[in-house]
Amino acid sequence: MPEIDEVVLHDLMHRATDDLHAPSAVTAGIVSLHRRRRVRARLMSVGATGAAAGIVAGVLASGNNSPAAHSTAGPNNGTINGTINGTIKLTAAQRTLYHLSDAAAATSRPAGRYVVMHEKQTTQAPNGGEESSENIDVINTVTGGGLTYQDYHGAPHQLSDSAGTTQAQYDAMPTGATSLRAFLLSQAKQQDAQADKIMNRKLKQEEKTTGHKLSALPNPTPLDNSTLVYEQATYTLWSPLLSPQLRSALYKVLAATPGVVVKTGAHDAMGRPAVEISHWNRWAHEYSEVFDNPSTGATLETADVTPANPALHITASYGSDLYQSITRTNTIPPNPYR
Amino acid sequence: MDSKQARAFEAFVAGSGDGLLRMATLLTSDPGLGEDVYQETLHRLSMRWSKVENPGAFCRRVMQNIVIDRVRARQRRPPEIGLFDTHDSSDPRSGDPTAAVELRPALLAALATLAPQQRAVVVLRYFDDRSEAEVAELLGITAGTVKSTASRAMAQLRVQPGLIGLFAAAEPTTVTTRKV
Repeated sequence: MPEIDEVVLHDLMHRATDDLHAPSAVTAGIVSLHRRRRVRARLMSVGATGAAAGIVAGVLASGNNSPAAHSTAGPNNGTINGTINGTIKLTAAQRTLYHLSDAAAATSRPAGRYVVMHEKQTTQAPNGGEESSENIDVINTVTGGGLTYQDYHGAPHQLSDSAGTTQAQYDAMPTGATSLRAFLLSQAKQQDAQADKIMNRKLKQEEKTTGHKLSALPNPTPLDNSTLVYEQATYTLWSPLLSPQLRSALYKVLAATPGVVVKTGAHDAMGRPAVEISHWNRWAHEYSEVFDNPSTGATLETADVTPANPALHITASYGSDLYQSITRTNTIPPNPYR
Repeated sequence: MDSKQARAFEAFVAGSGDGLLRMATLLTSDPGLGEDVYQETLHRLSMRWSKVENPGAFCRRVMQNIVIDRVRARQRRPPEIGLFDTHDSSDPRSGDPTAAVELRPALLAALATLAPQQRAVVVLRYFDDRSEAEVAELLGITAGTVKSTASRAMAQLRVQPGLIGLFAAAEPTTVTTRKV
């Protein structure tokens, strides 16, 4: 009775496993891991990844709305700054960002096909425990793809991404502050639309496959242009593939974008001097922080801080990516975790 | 993975997670290992989320690859005692002998006698209800190989001590000989 046996086996396999339920902590852990990595993920697959509503890294305080003291010092590029009675007024935050812009412009890009980044990722779980892991990213500047070497429980020791934004693509981006802002805005809107399509198609396909109705994605909160520019600028700023000119221009874009808080005299998790740029993400209910090297404009650390909000059932959490070192080489280094 | 993708990922796992975990358990014949494989599968899916067109198919394919890797790795390690080996039927919590916790040891022990590919064919065909063509595509083999592999696997399962009684129960003429 082979056919009957197959029916019996079908029934047996279902009955023998129907008490097994996927632990939700696994999903939460993976999502948490990715929240910390989202900047990199975005850069590694910029063509296919959407600019999500509510993902922000760092932003700057608004000129007119900022309580910071005003200055009459002139910026290098006054075309994107507000003027009062014909005199350009800068806030302290803007001045700091212009300093970063100048510092970035004065650097030179090192040679080498591969960028090797040693990272430390730290997450504070809702229960108060803290988890850290280290990994190495190897980014191919020509293809934009790369490898991640890691020693993370339950995860493979090596991950690869075949394509991403290349150094040449970054170099083709405009470096004038106004044109760069327009470019970033356009890019964000395109990616948002693309992301919506991909997500909806994926969910529909899965519903068809499983026969289960999956929870529909709520309509994304419409984000204003300034927020979209914040997102794009800070995602781009993170990359070690940028030219000094592009990095410099990004700081000028941020300096003209309302909604940022800039702190000087800060330090990253390794104690290195840093400028802290932060922004409140009202959609994600979190502060996104970027710690940048005041001497070079390079990003030292990114962090997301979620304060507790009992009314929204949100528990406090914290996650950061610390870039311990960034070097260039012409050969792919071996995986030390294998 | 951004916030929107995270929600889509969570929605996918909420709808498919239980099934994937159960499949991983059957593919590995080990609940503990199955959970590891499930976790690694989701991790790999999350890494490729923005590029994966069909997450379910991706998971099935990746899961099988991980199982083969894990089985090879495990063969190099001393055997571990699974929880089901210590199951005590006199425990009042054991409940219905046909409940999942009772059936699972015998089923997993029987599945463990199959080669990884045989197990994959059986699980995909008879647990996941995939057609021979779908299984062939997922495993990268021909439909003919699926058919013959399934046939051999079934023959082997029928003679497994823990399953003989159950299979016999399906045959009306042998109901009276069912071992309980």
